Amino acid sequence: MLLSIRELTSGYGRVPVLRGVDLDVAEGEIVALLGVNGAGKTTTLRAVSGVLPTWSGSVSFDGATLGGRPPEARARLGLGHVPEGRGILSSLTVRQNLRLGATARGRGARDVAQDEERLLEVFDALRDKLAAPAGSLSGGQQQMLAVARALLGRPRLVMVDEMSFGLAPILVTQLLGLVARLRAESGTAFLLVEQNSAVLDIADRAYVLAGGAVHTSGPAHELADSENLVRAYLG
Amino acid sequence: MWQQIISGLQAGSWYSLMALAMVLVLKATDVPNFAMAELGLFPAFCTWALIDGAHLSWWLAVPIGLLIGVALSVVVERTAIRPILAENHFATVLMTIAVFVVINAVVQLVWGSEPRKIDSPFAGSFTVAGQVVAYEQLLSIAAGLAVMAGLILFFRTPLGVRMQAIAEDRVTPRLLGVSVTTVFRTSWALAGAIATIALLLQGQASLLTDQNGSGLLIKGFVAATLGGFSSITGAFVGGLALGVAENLAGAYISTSSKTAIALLAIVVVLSIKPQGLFGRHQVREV
Ligand SMILES: Nc1ncnc2c1ncn2[C@@H]1O[C@H](COP(=O)(O)OP(=O)(O)OP(=O)(O)O)[C@@H](O)[C@H]1O
Ligand SMILES: [Mg+2]
Repeated sequence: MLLSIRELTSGYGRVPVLRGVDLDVAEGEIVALLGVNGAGKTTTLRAVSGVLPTWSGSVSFDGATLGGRPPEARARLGLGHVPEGRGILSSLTVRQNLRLGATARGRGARDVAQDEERLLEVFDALRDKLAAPAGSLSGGQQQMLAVARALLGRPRLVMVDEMSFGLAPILVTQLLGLVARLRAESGTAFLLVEQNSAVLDIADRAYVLAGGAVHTSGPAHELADSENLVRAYLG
Repeated sequence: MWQQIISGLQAGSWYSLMALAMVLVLKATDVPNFAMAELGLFPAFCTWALIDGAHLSWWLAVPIGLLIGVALSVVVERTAIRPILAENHFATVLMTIAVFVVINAVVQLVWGSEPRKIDSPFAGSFTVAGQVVAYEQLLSIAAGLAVMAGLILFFRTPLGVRMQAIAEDRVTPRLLGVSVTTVFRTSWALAGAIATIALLLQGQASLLTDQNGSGLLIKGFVAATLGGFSSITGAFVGGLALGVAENLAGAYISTSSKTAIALLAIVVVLSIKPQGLFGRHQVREV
């Protein structure tokens, strides 16, 4: 397993949110993490990337135990996290944002320019905007930038928090198509937090989170076929 | 008038440098650093001692002084600031005041209160269009411009971009592998060097006493506030404007009004433009 989460508990201050989450992502897999508002999806990603502490349980990534390591160290191990709200740095240009992603590779990163070029082929809409202030991008372009930036760090796994949030359905389909393409081309695994059932079209497996624990999990197509589930947990 | 402007630009360059140092630290760590000038004062006294006591040449003593300035700031950040910054922001501000007091006491203890002057190879002056200009004045102005230009270039390097990123958002850059520790250390190191430059310039053009730090601290704060406290260019222009305004007021209104002008300037600017001359509205996502 690339990522394994076992009985993870975490929360904010002393308020518990996660009450024992178990979740796995295999090498090159696309996994969807679903759940209603407040289910704990964002909190799970934050605990995995180290923004929130692990209270109990364990998170291991690529054989290494993550507990106690700061977020920057986890990023350098190849764990990408596109946070809720995208985390675009508006004081920087689009290119500066993108290049910042290469920091995760550590010192002496080579081939950054080539990788950037390859990513711009996929996220073509960004190409003409490289010199523009990042804050001037549209919502869809910002989302592309956020994903491309994480990928420039050559992660083994990228966790994306609500990529489809606030985007038109056609853009959502397009972005999901790009994720599927990136996985096919580079073998990068994705953990996609969504409230949009379209994600099940590209995911291999899915988890449904409720009240800070996993409620259901299984192959994505099975969950997509379960109408009650889709109605209860997805838009 | 010309004389007042040149002297104003000279003193203004010291204020600008101090303001730049404070803005660097504030942007990276969110701490208004009350110890900033003292972090330059101690290395300036060391440089004086190297030249006056150990008879080193200025060209050797100044780089050593700058290294001491960098080292002192890095050590203070590591030992006094970083351990409490995450826990209690207000306590960190108090800590910078404590550092100010401690360094000032050490300077008084070691060197006393007697005014000193750093001997420099830039004594003398020349005349253009009937006006006397001291080489020290040119040096201060040139150093201010050079530091400013250097910082603008620095902020385009990967490390500079990481610093800006952390200044805007404390979390996202870390998800991309940016080490906050490195960013904090770098900003304090740079600020320490810049503060040292300011005190060295003042100490060789005018006098070096244990009071220089507190004087420059206030002027630096005023300059940074005039400039909006987040903008590098703003801090720089704010310092020059303050220096010139002060000197003109000293010459045409009264000498004793010099300091009052500084505070008056801040009140007037802030009442018209609360975000400062160059300030942007702070946007920080929580
Ligand atoms: N910064 C915070 N401080 C305190 N409590 C928080 C914070 N962020 C979220 N919570 C609480 O944690 C619980 C889980 O929130 P979380 O953001 O993980 O849910 P989510 O599944 O991502 O929901 P959404 O779909 O709304 O993004 C909620 O009850 C929420 O109120
Ligand atoms: Mg969320």
